[in-house]
Amino acid sequence: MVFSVSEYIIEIFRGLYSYIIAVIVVLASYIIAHYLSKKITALKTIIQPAIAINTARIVKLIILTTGVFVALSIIGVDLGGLLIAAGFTGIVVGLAAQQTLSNLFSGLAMIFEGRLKPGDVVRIGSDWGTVESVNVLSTTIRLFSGEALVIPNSVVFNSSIYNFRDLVARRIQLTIGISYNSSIDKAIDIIKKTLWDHPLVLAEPEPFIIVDSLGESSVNLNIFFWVSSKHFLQVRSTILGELKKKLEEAGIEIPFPQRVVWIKQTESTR
Amino acid sequence: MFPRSVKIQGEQRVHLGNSDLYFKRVSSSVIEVYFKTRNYSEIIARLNYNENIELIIEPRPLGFNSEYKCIVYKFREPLTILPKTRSELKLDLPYSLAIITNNTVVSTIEPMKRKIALYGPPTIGDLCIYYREGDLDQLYWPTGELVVTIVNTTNKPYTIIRLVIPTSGLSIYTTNERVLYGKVRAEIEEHLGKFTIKVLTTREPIEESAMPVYISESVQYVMGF
Repeated sequence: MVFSVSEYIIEIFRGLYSYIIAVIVVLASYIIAHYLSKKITALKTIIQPAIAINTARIVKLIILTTGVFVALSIIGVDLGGLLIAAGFTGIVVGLAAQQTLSNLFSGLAMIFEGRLKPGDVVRIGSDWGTVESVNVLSTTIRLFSGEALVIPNSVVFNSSIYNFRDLVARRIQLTIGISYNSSIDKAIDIIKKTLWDHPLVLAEPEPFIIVDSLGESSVNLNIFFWVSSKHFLQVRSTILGELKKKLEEAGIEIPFPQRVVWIKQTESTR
Repeated sequence: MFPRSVKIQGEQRVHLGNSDLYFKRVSSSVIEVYFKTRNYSEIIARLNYNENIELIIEPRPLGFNSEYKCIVYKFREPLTILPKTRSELKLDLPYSLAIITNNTVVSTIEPMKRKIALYGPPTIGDLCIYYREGDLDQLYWPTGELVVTIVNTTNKPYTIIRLVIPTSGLSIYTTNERVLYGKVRAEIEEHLGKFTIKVLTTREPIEESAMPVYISESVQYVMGF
């Protein structure tokens, strides 16, 4: 095949032209992605910040990927082969990064469902704390002890979560065992008075006390009372201490677990 | 009854009905304020000594910085209002005192043994200051008179056990002998079988000659839980 110089130059320009167009497409997709991402991120004052930020990231990724694919097709790269290769790579990566993808989809589901929001006071398993951030792969909880606990989203997604968001008041339940020798009525009166004397124990809903069980070593009383959410831990701790003090002062014993052993006397042991 | 204001000069005892506030100078620069009853005494404020200390009726019933916006007043006995009738109640309601020096509130003194109650569900309800009729006698704290007119606009009798009063709308007045609150009106209404009580504060004094301490705009609270 013989090319004339002019055809050769035209071919070069044609190739150069498609490369320039491809670069323009990539640049345009970058600018559009950046612009849209910024606009979506700005919505964080209206919708949940986590949703806005993560949607912006996903939109940016989709537009950039589309731009790159369009650019590749413009410069003549066979996208069919590339997509097949990408498909195989996807399967391999999917198997290898199963856990990561699980975290990713759990994270996206949680963000869009609004299950957790930054600032929520939560209990996940035995961990208590405040949600600091919900990201696509993990959730960060600031524990009440100060440490940051980073939990993979798949774990959070599959856990039972106690969320105390927007709760004006909470009920506290305490169990106190008194000895079998102590008067139940007297103990209940002391408990009622202790709760009434504490200014942060709510008067309504009224506290109530029930005899829950006749235990091995004690008669167990269940005490239910309400406090404002923000004073929950403080009041619980104070009331526990006060109850122990007041019951002891009144001569009501809070027994430790004990067992009475009777030794059976037979003819041979006498 | 506490006078509208008391100028504190050195060590002084201010009578508050069954209790006293005792201003004790503990050094050249410090004054301690004690709350005293017959068998109880507690320091409730420690102030820098100033020649211009004055004790006044706190203009806002629950203090300027109170996080609670309402009072739950529980009646000793349930009160039944017959259809299309009105009933007028006189309630005792404590008020706060404020210590001011040079026109600045330096300490607020609130009634002792105050309790809080939740009105409504725990997610959207309101935390309110709780007063139970009858318990107020044991507060050892001066109270003001609050007149509530309850109107039953429905065709059925309605029994009330508590009233929620928005504190931001309460006006306070004094006479020579008494502290009075602005009148409160409560209207029982029924819509589609659901009863609500609209509690509206007014700036209307129960005595024309009463002098205002603090006048508020009318505020409405709808009791519907």
